[in-house]
Amino acid sequence: MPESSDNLVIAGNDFTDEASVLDVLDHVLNAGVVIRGSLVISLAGVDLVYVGLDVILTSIETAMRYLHIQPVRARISLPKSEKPSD
Amino acid sequence: MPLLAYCLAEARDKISFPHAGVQGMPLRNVRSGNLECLVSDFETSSAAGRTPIRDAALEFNRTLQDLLTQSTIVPFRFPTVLADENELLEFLTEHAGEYEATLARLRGTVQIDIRVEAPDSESSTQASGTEYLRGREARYDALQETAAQFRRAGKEWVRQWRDRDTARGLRCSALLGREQVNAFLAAAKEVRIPPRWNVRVSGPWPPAEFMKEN
Repeated sequence: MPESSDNLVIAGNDFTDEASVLDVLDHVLNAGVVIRGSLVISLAGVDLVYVGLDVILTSIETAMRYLHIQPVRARISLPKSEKPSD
Repeated sequence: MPLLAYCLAEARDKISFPHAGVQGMPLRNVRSGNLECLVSDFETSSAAGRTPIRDAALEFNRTLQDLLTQSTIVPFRFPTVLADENELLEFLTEHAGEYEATLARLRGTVQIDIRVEAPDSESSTQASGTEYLRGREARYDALQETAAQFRRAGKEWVRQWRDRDTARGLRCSALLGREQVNAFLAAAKEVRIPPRWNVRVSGPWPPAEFMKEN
C-alpha cells in the first residue's frame, strides 16, 4: 500500500488503490510518443486526473471499435474545458 | 494484424520481455538501426479485442513498469495502434535520429511526479477583486514554495525539474537516475505540507515529460 501521512502520500509505483489507478491512466493516456495517424487522445494539455476519466475511457472504447473498421485512422478530440471530476 | 506499440528503447540494452502484454499477447521487438520498439499484436475483432480499455491501460502500464526496471524507455501514448509492422518501420526510419538522441540523453533515468494541491484561498469568497487576486497570488506563491521544498529535498539527485499548473495546484516532474528513486522518495517524506493541502508523490514513471529538451 502507498505510504501516507495526513496529507502527503508517497505512492511510489504501488498501483493498488484507486488514486494510483487514476495516476496510471493519466500517464498512459496523456504522455508519450504520438504517431501521426494513430489513435490520438487530444486534450490540449488538460490533466486527465481532473477530467471525467469515465468519459475518456468510453471515448477510447468507442474509437477502438472504429479501429475494427479502419485501423490507425481514428482520432478523438475532447474540448479544453472538460469539467473536473471529484 | 494491427500492432500495439509500447515503447522505444536503445537496441544496445538487452531486454528480457514480460511473458505477455495487453490482451495476453506475447511481446516482441521491431528493430530499426539503434532503435528498438516493443510491440504486441492487437486484436480488435475478437473477444480479446473487447478487453475493457481500463484493464488494457493498466496492463499496458504493468508492461512498461517491467521494461522500465531494465532499460530507459520512451513510451508510446496508449493506445497507439498501427496497421502493421511496415507502418511502424516507416515511423522508426523517419524519426530514428530524434529518438536515438532522446534515449541517449535520458539513459538511466526515470521520472517521479509530485502533485501538489491547495484549497482555494479564503479571500476567494470575499467581495473585493483586489483581495481575490492577492489571495490567488499568495496561493500560487505557496504552491511554488511547496514544490521548491521537494526540489530542494531531492537536489542531490534531481537532474531536471518541470512543473505546470493544474486545476487544483501544481504538477511537478523530477528526472533522476533509476538507482536514486528510493533516496528521493525517502527525502520527499520529510517535506512539511501545509494543513488542508494534499501532495501525492508517484513513480518511477518513464521519463515522458523530459522527451523534449526544453
